[in-house]
Amino acid sequence: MNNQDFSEEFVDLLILRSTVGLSESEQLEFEQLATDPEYLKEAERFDLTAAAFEQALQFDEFEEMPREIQDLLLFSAGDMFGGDVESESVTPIEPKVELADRSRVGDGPSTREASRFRWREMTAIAVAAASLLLVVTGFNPFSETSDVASQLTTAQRLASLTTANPADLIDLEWTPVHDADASGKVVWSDSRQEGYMVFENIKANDPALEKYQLWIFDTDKAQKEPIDGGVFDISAAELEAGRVIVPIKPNLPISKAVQFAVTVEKPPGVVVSKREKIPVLAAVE
Amino acid sequence: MTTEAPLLPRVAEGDSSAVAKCLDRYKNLVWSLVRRNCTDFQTAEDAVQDIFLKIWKNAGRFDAEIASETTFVAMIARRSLIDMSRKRSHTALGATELDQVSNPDMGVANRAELNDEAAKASAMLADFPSEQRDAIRMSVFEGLSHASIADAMKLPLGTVKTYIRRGMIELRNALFTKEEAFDPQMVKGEVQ
Repeated sequence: MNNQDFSEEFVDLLILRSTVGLSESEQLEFEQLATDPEYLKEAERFDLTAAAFEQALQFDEFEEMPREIQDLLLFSAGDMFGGDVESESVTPIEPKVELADRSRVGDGPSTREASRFRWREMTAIAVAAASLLLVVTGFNPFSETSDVASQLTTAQRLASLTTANPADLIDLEWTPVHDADASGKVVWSDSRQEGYMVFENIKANDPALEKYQLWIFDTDKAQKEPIDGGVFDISAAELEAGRVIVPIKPNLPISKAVQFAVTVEKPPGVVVSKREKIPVLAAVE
Repeated sequence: MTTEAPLLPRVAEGDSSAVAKCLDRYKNLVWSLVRRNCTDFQTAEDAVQDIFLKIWKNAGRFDAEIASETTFVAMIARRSLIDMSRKRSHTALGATELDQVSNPDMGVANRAELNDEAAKASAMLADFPSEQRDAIRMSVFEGLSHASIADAMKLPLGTVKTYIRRGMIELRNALFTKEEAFDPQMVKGEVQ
């Protein structure tokens, strides 16, 4: 069977699907048409065709995958294939920023084993916590809403960012404003568009009544208002467990962050803050 | 790449040394694809893990008689990125803005290590008129919609569609003259 055996409409769909992707309605149309295995095979032939063009057009050298991601992949592979997966070319780099107490393992030299051991221990903690929770409550914490799993992942990502230590990494202690006990720090990289807030002793919020919201002041933006960095909650349970790590999710790209402010807002958060209640802020000097 | 023995059959058998070699061999290919399509590091990190998981899970489907291992890996990576993009925003694959569309003088790859499929694609692109080559590059490589390409190239939408359609069908027919195809289990819906 060659492509002349398929309708023009179906071929058009396959070409769109393999180049830029289908809209929801086009995807539905594809699924209705692609019930025959031959149609599915033809879809994959076009995927391979696009992959061939892609390679032919890739004339720059490939970008080197960051070592911390290679390490994560080896770790995932080790779990999936049931053993150590060793790579001759992957040598983890020395973490340049001390990891959180809950993530730190031992005081030995920073070696590949130490790095992998840290990831393994964090996973083991999560698995153990998950198992206990499952036994006690019947609740599976590895569902999408799992606090344990998501917190661990966030901790891993924070560790990954600080270990990578990009040149523009911002690592600032919070200055308490309207919450005298609150402490912690904010970590952000403009180049990676990635960052995390770490909180200790901040007041837990009642999500039904109020929300925490981060605002990022970007020096390169010709706008009066700061950029919304995401709405979040801090639960008492999380605080009891220790520090709370929250990923930063700006709704616009950040060119050069110079200040971070956390405000308390009415649910579900606001577009423009009146800045009446500011628990903490941090500014680049 | 073309002279190296495939690793995926060994990965499918659970050979952990092949898994590590597979990562070494394709990490930069996958990372380059991901970085071109993900604007932030965290999304890129998630994407690359998702892609390698799919590569390992689908290793048993690879057949060297149908396509090279590199093209198979690139296909899984592209499919995953397109699916991710569709889930995120129902927008085009690429994150490239129109004003960042690559240099119109850009040629095509001429590396000695191109696999068979990529070499055929490269030769075909070199024979295409420059407008058609640019349209295919913007679609396949930059992930731009047909309308965006028409705007950028100041060409009628129908012309852009025809360029891309003809190019894709021509290469598809050059690559798959027989009834060759991988087992289609992962095509329906999304890559599993």
